[in-house]
This record gives sequence, structure tokens and C-alpha cells, in this order.
Amino acid sequence: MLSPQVIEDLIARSQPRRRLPGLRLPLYVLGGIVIGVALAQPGSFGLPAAAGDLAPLVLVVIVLVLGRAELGRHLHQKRDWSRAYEAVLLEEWSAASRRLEALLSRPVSNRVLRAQGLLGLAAVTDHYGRYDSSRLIYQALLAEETVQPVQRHAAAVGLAAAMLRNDELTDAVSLIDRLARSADDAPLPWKAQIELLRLFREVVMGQYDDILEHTEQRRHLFRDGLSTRSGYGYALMALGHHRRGRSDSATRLWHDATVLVPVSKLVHRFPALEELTRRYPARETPL
Amino acid sequence: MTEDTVAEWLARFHRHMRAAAVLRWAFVVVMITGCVAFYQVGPTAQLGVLAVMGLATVAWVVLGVRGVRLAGAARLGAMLLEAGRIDEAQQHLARALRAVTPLRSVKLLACHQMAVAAHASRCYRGAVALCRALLGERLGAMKSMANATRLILADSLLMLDDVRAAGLALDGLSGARLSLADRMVLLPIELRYHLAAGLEDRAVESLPHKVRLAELLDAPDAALAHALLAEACRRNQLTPQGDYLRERAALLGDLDAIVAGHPALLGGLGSPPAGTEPPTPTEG
Repeated sequence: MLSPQVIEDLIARSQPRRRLPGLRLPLYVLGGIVIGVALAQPGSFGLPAAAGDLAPLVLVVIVLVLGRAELGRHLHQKRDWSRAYEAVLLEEWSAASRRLEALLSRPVSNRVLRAQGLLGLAAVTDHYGRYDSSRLIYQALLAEETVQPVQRHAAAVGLAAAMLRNDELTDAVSLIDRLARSADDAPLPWKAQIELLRLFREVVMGQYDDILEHTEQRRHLFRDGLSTRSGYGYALMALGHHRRGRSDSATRLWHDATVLVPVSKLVHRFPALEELTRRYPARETPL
Repeated sequence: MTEDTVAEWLARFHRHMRAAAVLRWAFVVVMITGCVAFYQVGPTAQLGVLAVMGLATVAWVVLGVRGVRLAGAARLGAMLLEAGRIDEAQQHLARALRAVTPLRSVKLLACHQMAVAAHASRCYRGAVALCRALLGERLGAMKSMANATRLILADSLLMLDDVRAAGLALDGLSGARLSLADRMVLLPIELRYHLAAGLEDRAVESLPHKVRLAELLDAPDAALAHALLAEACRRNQLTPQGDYLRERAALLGDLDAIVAGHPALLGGLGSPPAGTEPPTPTEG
């Protein structure tokens, strides 16, 4: 399921169809000339003379029917993309995977939509722990020139995280440093995402003193930039404090993390957090 | 932006919408009459008919091209609004609102974006007037815009403490197929309406689903939505849920500032509930 081969196949199949540049206009002109001649001299095309009178009406009907069909197809496609994207946001992973696979298994002419779909698919592969597949998607997006800045940022952050999880530490550190250097002028949510990535790197590399040093500053940044997803940041900081023997602050951070994100989701995303579940009580969800 | 400028824009908007309708019908009438007349008159007069039809087509194309340019101004205004550059956005939108074009969609889009700008610059009366003007028009292919317009209308009316009118605006959304993005925008507005109208029981209907939606919002909106849900739970004596949601709201934003921003709705959330301190770690 969603193996690198499947992902490579989807990336290739979703590529927009190549059109011969400049061919469309001459084709339209040629079609217009043929129709014009057919209307003026229906006999030369083997058509009855009455065809000349009826042809404009028939043409209008054809244009209306084709236009209506095209509009219906466009609306249908828009609804399918919107459902797939909503499934990703609502973390309905199986539905998201099914819908995105179906949509990306044929050429997608809208490049923004395609990139959004691939990012959604990367979220699905991340959830299922297929980081090798995620890596392929992020790299494919970063290699494309037409990707929007916000999508490029998401792909770079995702790639760095996938590298950390795949133990490609040198490449990950270099990419995270590059992202951190570009964060000064970035919007707040981007800064918070990059900071969460740096925190994850510090956990992976055992740089717990750095975690302790930046805790307060990161608390504010995560709160304002990540909303409820700041729970992941608090949980990683709790792990850093725990490993440095700061159990009071670890308790407070773990408590706050579990107020915002259920323990099962925290551990699913960062399995290293498992050791905190045995030591610190989590906030129970009364919903 | 003031109410007077909005009134001036709206007067032009209505005038131009009427002019656009007249232009469209005039073009259709000229073309149909021309087609019929072409077969009824002699060869010399046929040239005259063709010339009239040609002129009408040229005029239509010129106005259409101008309309496309204005659509560009309206879209640029929308982009500037998203970037938070409200004054600049207003200039582009005002250009699109002031000009005449046979393309109704351009005027409708500009009017909608101007309502967004009025709402963003806290000119709520102006936003209400623009939204009502827009909803009074036949939207046709732009029907999906009506949901967003109703959301702005309801929010502006709540800011003006007109709870009953806000309820009517929200009623217009019942039965509509809303996207996830629209449902996310709707959540804090609907919660504020339910609490202001004394419909606390409706505010806690499908609570887990509402919390799930609130989790997807940006931090300030997520904090407000959680605080509103906490207050609704408190009023419904759902104490454990209320305490939990209050705790979440305090982690997502400055709860004191949120309460101060909505004292009539959230006054009951002022003091923290007992026992919200985290427990101590277990040994081993």
C-alpha cells in the first residue's frame, strides 16, 4: 500500500498532458474556415442546401451542450478534489488515500491542484509510516518549477522531517539550517513549523540542553503559529526536559501537550514519546 | 472606509447593475432583430444591417475587454485583502465598483470583496449594507459566493448586537452544502449567535464534531471557539467538558483578552476552575 513504486507511478500519471505549443490556435482557425465554407457552400461538402440555413442553429446547440458538459465535468472534479482535501484535514486517512489515488491516477491539468493533491498524499504516507514514499513526493514537488511558495515550503519541511525519520541526518540538518536561515521574513505559521522541525532534530540528535534553553520562546511561537498542533511541540519539549531529569517542567509540558492532542496521536507520530506515557499522567479527554 | 463612502459605492453598484442589464438586452435585441431583418431586406440594406450588427459586436467586445480588466482589479483586491493590505485592496475594488461593464460577475465579485474589506476594517454597518445589496441580486453561477457573504453578514450583525437579524442571516445557510472551510468560518459565528440568543443547548449539539472543527482553526479563532464551547458547556452544566475546553482555550490564546473582547458572552469564564494544575509524575 502506497509503496514507493505506487507513488512514483502516481507522480508520473498525474503529470499534465503535454500539448504541442502554438498548435491550438491554427487548429481553431482551420476549423472556423471549414465551418464557414460548409455554411456558404453546403453542396461542396455533399450537404443539402437546407444545411446552410440550419447549420448556425445546430452549431449553437452543439456549443451549448458541450459547454454544459464541460461545466458539469469541471464542477464534478472540483467537488472530488475538495472531498479529498477535506478527508486529509479531518485525518480520515483511508478515505483520503482512496480519493487521492483515484484523482492522481490520471493527468491533472491544474498544477496547483496537483501539487496540493500530492502534499495530501504525503500526509497520508506520513501517517502510515511510509517515509520513503513521502520523501519521493516531497522531492518530486521541490523539483518542479511551477509549485507555489506555500506548497514549496510545505514540501521542504516535510522532506526534512522524512529525512530525520529515515536517519539521513546530514542531509536533514543541512536542509533544516537552510530553512531556518530563510525563516526571518516568513509568516508566523512557517516560522513555527521550522522551529518544530528544529526541535525534532534536537530530540533525534540528543541536544537536550538546546531544548531547555529555548522552551519559553518556543512555547509562545508554537501557540501562536501551530494552534492545537502546538501539542506536538510541547510533547517533544517534555521529552527533552524528561531526559535532562527536569520532571516538574516535563510534567507541565506533557500535561499541556495531552490537553491539545490525544496521547495515542502523539505517540503514533513520535514513537519516542512512549516513555513519557509510563512516567507522567496525561489529561483525560471528557468528550 | 466610512458608511458614506459605502452608500456612494452602493448607489453606483445598483445603477451599474441596471445599466449592465440594459446593455445585455440591447445587444441581444440588436442581434436578433439584425438576423431577422437580414433576410427581409434587399441586398443594399443588408450591408447596413451587417454594419449595425458589427458595431454592436465591437462595442460589446470593447466593454467585455474592459470588464476583464476590471475583473483583474477585483481579483488583485482580493489577493491584497488576503495579505492584510486593506487600504490598497479598497482602492482596486473601488475602481472595479465605479466602472460600467456588462459583466455582472465582475461587479458581484467586487461588491463581495468590498464587504470583506469593510468587515476587516471594522466598518460593520458598511459590510452589512454591501452584503445585503449582494444577496439581493440574482447570483446565478456565483451562487457559491452567497454562503461566504451570509457568513460576513451574520458576523457583522453580531458585532452590531443585532442578534435577531444575525439569526435570520444564519437561517439562510441551513440546508446549504457548505465546504469544510465555510463550516470552519461558521463555527465561532454560530456559537456566538447561540450564546447571545440564549440557545446554549444548541451550542453543545454534536460537541465532539464542533471541537474537531475548532481544532482546525488558526490559533486566535481556535481559542475563541474553544472559549465559546466552554461557556456553552458551563451553561449546560457539562462541567468536565467545560473545564477541559476552557483549559484548551487558555493554551491556545490569552483567555483574559478573549473574555474581555466578549464580556457579555464569556463573562462566566473569568475565573479558572479548581483542579486544573497538572498532577505530579509517577515514580519509576
